[in-house]
Amino acid sequence: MSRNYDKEVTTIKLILEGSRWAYEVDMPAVLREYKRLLGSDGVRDSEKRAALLILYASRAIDTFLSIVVRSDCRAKREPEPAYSTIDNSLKRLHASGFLDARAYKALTVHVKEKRNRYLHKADVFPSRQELERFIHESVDGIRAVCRSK
Amino acid sequence: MSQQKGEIINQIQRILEQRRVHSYLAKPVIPEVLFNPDFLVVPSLGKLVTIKVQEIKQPQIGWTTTLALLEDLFEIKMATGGSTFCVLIILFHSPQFALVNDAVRLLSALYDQIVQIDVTNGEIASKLEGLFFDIIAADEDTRSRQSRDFWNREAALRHENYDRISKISYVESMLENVQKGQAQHQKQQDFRRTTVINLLMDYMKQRWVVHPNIKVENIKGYYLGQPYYFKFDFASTPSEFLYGDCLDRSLLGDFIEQGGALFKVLEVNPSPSVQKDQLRRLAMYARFISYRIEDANEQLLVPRTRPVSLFLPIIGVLSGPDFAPSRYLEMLISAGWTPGRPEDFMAFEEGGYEPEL
Repeated sequence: MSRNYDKEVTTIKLILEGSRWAYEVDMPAVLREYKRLLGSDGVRDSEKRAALLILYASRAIDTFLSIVVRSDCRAKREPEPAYSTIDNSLKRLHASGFLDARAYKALTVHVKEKRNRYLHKADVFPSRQELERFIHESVDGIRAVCRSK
Repeated sequence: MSQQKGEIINQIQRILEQRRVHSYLAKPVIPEVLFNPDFLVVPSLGKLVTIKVQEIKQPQIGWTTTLALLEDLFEIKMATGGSTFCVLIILFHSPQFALVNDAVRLLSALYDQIVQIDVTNGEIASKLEGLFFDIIAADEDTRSRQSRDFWNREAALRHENYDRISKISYVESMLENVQKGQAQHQKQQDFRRTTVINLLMDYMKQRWVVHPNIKVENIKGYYLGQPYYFKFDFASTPSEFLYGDCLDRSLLGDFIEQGGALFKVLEVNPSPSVQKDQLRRLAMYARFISYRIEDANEQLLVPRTRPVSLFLPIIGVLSGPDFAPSRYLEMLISAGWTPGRPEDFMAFEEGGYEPEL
């Protein structure tokens, strides 16, 4: 059975390929992460599958946001951060106008905080609805950055 | 989907496969777009193209369809970015189809590319092949700076409008109704559109001057070279302002400064397709009067510094699909409307008209 987020994730892959960051060195890694996410149907254990989906979706958005941050630093002739966390990237992209207040809040609440909960707390797994919401919000956040000027 | 449209979609798919574009997707899903395009195409890395196919069975394209197609364009550009190259394919069945009229001219002015195909003759393949080359050549640099600026300004305007959503109580009450399981099209049985319009006008007349059936000039004329008007149910102003039923472009700025407001009463329609067309048309009403022409020589469009007060009393519960009940309201609010129950608009406060929303 097709999952609710399959088509949305397939669509975001194309939006990323058609975006101005398509030629960035790390972009193929982001696209491969989404490919893994879409191919996770083979994992029978639902908890294991949920953990993998959170991992893939998180790594994809983390890396994408750091691509945009680094590209913005280069455009502004500022030093690129040595490493980036999702929190740093979100703050910087909000300050630079890539994320409006609504998208910033949604990513902080529904992606950053949820991700921290699921990845760092033992024996915690999202329900199917929570998982779908998490993937949807992370993909929505990427679209918010892509549509910025 | 009609058989002809299905065949055209298949032909486009074949061409995209044969020509080995970098990637493409039929029936993409962008949740914030009410009517998604038929294809999302990446001809080469860094370029994004959308293709929408619209079949027109009448001899000419009507304004309702035109405004709906424009709303689709605005939503796609706002969801994916102003640099997305948007293609519209119009399929027509009548040899008398008006290839050039004001509706087609307006669509051509805003869509990046329009292709008109007569499905009754054999030109389909060559037109689609030609379209393919246009898609490959799609380049942001070929579009005017004015066009890019316009989409950037529209995005900023949308964000400003969207920020109002938490202050509009109708959204919350709609969500409560949905949770209670009330039907989307449930109406307040005793009310009909004309009754509500009359009730609201009578109420407004106690303190304000009411101008029924007002026509308001919009920026359609900017693209078409002659004035075009949208009809509203009534306008209200604090003092006598209009002599006649037309609010033309030169008067609209003063109308806003004086605290004038425009009203359109919406009756929730039980048919989803009719409802969606209505909403898309209403969204374009708001978008097309949110701008003014700043420089007559440069013909520069800029959003009004002070927004037009656009009030939308709604008869019934306007909710979207189950997975996104506030979808329709978000669309209207981001376009510039302030929705509410009819009774929400029957409240005066000292110093001006401020409905209790």
